[in-house]
Amino acid sequence: MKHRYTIALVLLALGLVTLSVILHRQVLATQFVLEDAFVRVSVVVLFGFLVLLVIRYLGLLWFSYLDQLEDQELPDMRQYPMVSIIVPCFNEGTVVQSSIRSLLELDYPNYEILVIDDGSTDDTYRKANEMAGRHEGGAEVRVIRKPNGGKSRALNRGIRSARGSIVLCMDGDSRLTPDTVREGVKHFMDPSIAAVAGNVKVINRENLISKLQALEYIEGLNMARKAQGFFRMVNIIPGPIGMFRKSALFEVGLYEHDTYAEDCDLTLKLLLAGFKVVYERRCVALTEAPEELLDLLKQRYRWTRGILQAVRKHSNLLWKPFATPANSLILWYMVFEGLVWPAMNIFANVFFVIVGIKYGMTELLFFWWTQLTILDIAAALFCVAIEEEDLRLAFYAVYYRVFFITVIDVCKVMATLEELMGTQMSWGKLERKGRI
Amino acid sequence: MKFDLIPILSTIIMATTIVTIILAFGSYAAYKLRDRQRARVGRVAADEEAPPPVFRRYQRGNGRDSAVDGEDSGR
Repeated sequence: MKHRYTIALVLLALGLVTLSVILHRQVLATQFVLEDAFVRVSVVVLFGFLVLLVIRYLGLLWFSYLDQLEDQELPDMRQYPMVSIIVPCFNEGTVVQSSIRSLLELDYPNYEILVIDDGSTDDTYRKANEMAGRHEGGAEVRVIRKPNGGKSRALNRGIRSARGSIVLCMDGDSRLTPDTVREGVKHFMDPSIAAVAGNVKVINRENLISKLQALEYIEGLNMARKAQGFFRMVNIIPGPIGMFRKSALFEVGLYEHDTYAEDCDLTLKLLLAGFKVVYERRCVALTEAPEELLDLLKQRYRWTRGILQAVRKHSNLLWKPFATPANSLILWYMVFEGLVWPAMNIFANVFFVIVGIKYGMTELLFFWWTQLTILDIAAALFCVAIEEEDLRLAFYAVYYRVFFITVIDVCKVMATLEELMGTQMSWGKLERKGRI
Repeated sequence: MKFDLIPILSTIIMATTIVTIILAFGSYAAYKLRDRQRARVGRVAADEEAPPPVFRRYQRGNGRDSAVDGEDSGR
């Protein structure tokens, strides 16, 4: 039944893509009177960009689909390597005990939980410490306290103290589903694999903003990861769930503290060192997404600048497409996603509004918008089907295009400009509602 | 019926786009403003909590090496 449901949705997605192509032809057939040279050039640039976008969407969908075809449950292992779960905490006193309790329910026979209290000023350490020791089922909880130094230092402290050959790094306020460790560990039977990127899902689908993020995580982030997973070149292992071979981490030098996206930086270091990074959709971390618009912008501002910092750090490889083609491709892809795509989206919207007001040609904006919305809905349907998620989420793709993506892209463009200008920034801790 | 709806839909989409662009820049400005205010409040609080800059009692060897990470409570 599930299989049929998936096929139906994939067919629907293909139908939408076909409709999108028909619309594209309609735009080409429309006679526009464009006398202004700037307008002419802009239309050509935007049309070229639209073609690039369609290729991007189709490419991501196609490679996600290929990854899905290859996706089969790996056989159970005869021996289970020890896994150290590292939970960095800073002022998580209200959630730390429930977080540890949920980790103690994991379905895996050989693991330890390392809580790293990163100099909390609340009762995180005391509360975590109450749960320290060996528990029923064999898992041991250890609590380490260190002066405040940021998440990357806390994770490094945990990795150095880990007894397992595999480490699982997560956020203090995330939850793992019971099968996560068992499913992730299987990939490490292949010695070339250094890390497994997990599947992050939004748990608090309370209002429009968090529902849109739920869709974004499924469509925007996981679809890209799934497509990259086909090539074993996932470029960002998400903070809430990443499994690593400890020896590979030591080989590339652990997390560094010079960017605001330490997870992206570490993933790039692993890929550039020649390791493979895969995506496992069954490794699920549930995370609480910001419910307020300004908190969301704060998060995206940090992500954008952090990713840019990581790309700039390795930017010498951008210009070596022949020496290291795979590495160069990864970095260019990140530049496109982080810089070009948001800037072009804003430019397109502003341009079409100006053309609409000045020349009364609002159709251009209509075609642009409809095309992208159709692609969004097609991608959303495909991803919802694969992830066996709530089908209603797919229809939020309309809101996603109308409102969400423009707000996020403006934030990304502004963050990029500030990064290029060297404006100071701080990490800033997001206020959580404690819904997990 | 040949694309009769398009002019109406185009106008609606254009109005929505204009509102969204204004909202996007407005919310970004609001975020920066809030961030700046919070930073200022944080600085003031830190200044109030900080010990006076003069007459601070000298304690020999009181500084802990920041490289030492601290306690491991694994029982």
